Amino acid sequence: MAKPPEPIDEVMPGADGAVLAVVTRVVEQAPQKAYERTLETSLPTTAARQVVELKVTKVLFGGLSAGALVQVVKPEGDYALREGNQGPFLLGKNESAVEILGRYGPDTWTEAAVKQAAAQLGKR
Amino acid sequence: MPMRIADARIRQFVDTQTTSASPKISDANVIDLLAAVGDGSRMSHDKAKTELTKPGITRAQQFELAKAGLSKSEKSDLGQLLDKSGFQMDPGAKNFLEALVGRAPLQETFGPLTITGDQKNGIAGIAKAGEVIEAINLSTAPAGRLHLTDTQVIGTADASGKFLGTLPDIREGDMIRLRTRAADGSTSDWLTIQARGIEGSDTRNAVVNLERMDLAATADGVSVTHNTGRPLSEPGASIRFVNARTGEKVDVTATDKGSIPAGLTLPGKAGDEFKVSVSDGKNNVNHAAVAGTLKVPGGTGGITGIDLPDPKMHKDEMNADGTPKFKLERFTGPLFVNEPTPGDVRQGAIGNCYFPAALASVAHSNPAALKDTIKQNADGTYTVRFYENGNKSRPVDIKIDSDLYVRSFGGPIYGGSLGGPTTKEGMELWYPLIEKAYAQWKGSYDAIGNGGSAGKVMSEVLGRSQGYEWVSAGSEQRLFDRIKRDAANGVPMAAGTHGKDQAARYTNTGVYANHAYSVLGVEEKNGEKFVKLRNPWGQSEYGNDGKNDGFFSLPMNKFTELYSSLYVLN
Repeated sequence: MAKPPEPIDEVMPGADGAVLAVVTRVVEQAPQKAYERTLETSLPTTAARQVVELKVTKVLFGGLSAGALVQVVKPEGDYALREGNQGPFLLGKNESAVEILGRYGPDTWTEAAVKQAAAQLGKR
Repeated sequence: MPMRIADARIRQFVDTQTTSASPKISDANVIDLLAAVGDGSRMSHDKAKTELTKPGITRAQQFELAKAGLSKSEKSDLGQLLDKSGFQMDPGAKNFLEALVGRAPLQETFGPLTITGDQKNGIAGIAKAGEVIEAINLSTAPAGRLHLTDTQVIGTADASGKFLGTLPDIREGDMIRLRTRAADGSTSDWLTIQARGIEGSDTRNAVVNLERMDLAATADGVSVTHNTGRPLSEPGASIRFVNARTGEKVDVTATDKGSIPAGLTLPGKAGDEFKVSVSDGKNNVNHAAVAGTLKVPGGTGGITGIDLPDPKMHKDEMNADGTPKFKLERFTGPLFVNEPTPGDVRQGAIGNCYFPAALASVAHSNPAALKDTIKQNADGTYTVRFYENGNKSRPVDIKIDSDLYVRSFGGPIYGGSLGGPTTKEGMELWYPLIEKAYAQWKGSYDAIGNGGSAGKVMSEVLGRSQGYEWVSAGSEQRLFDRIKRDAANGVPMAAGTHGKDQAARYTNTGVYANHAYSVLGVEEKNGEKFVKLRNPWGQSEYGNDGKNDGFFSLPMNKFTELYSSLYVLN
């Protein structure tokens, strides 16, 4: 659903790292359900789960390093990724994988907003 | 029969334990007893304690040091501690005493992990040779995203079983949880110690993570639950809840997993606020410093005046028992600040983009008609007029008050206003109140929060029939001409993007899938044709004009690529 991005202050406490990165490939793509064209918007539909490989170009905070290739989960939700997409990725670690946080992935918040929110929590 | 302790330092130890809530001879404080018997003419008490807590010292060395100073009367004192004190004893501590009085041999280790000495120079101890030592600081974990098992490796036991490791940011009094991991991956039981010897005193208080607690009104009061597997405070910390309305206090002790006791219920009701504080027993013991405030969902928040029924929240914001997760507060700001404009409108955390996109379009194309939509009544309530199926002869008047659901830190959770304050005293009210009335008319915020049509809303607001056009490549000139003509005639318009199955085409464009936008007109720049749009979020847009206010111009060819439908009124 086309809800606004979550307030970054609500998501940042759960973040383990943030990087500027580019999607180098889509490693896994769950089946995407096709939806009928409709005059309605903000429908409760979703873009399927993906696993993508990111190439880190800059570390905003956390344990990754520039140049690293890392596989992360793009959860089922409001956006999809393809090769070449880039931007600030906020990352959270759960029991089994590293997951991209934020309702719209790299389009959720600006780099400046991520850096500011991270600094307020002392994340480096 | 009472104990008769001869040695002054042992007696002091006994007195301290006797006056504590849970007297215990632990692996940590048994060092005080060893120092008490190890001192003498050859070594002062302070010197003995320093030697006993040297990093890397083994239990056997500690035993020998104590035994060398052991007098007959001290041996008797230790025997009385074992037989008569009734104190709880850690197995390792008890074995020290038993070995010193000759009742048992000294055991080098207890279980797979024994910590020796203080932590001035690190965490030292004994494990099985080759085992890895894992640790987590339970005093700092609640402030981060850590689970209790998110340990880090601090060292490996050498061939003799000794290890010495460091844990970053460890401070005096911190609760440290450790275990060993063998080569086959098996782990030992947890061992929790309190860090000592690092600083002169414990100056870091425990933390309590308020986000990890949920409060809910029940028939018996207010239930408190811990909503995650991550710890919310330090084990053993004292957590105090004070009801701001009644002043009643409830103190609880954090469990060994850093949680609150199961089944915790506080005296209170829906709408109450609780101030929460925490103490580790050394800092903030009077609970003067408050960590934060938690609100019990529901209630009226001290609302005065006429209180009309409110639409229920979206299902995502409802508890399992049907109570709302957020509280209502009365907003008393102005209905309009100057003329209504699209820039006033901000979509809230609800899937109804079609609604703010439609209202912003009406504000742009026909502000006078929008002002006629909502009126303030003499009794302080508001009446909002809609038209059923866009039929001017079928008006529907919805009477509401100005109570809005608010986030815990203030500000409305659903639609709000931009360009001014978001406080309940100052926020411009026309948009959030029309949205509330629409939710009331349709049944709830859930009824309007799972998608809809911007064209239908514009029709229901203005009492006119709606039309639409599918957007496709090759229709640029026709759409440009139509938008230009309708904008000149004051016709509100909106546009919708493609569905989530085509979400990948949107990432990094500044335009979002399954979303509605206000269409504000067209323009030509250097011979190129653009459509002027606004994102109802009041932010996030195509291109970078340096404002990020949701307003943007999109080349017509991008418009036909990214948008699926254009809504207009006839």
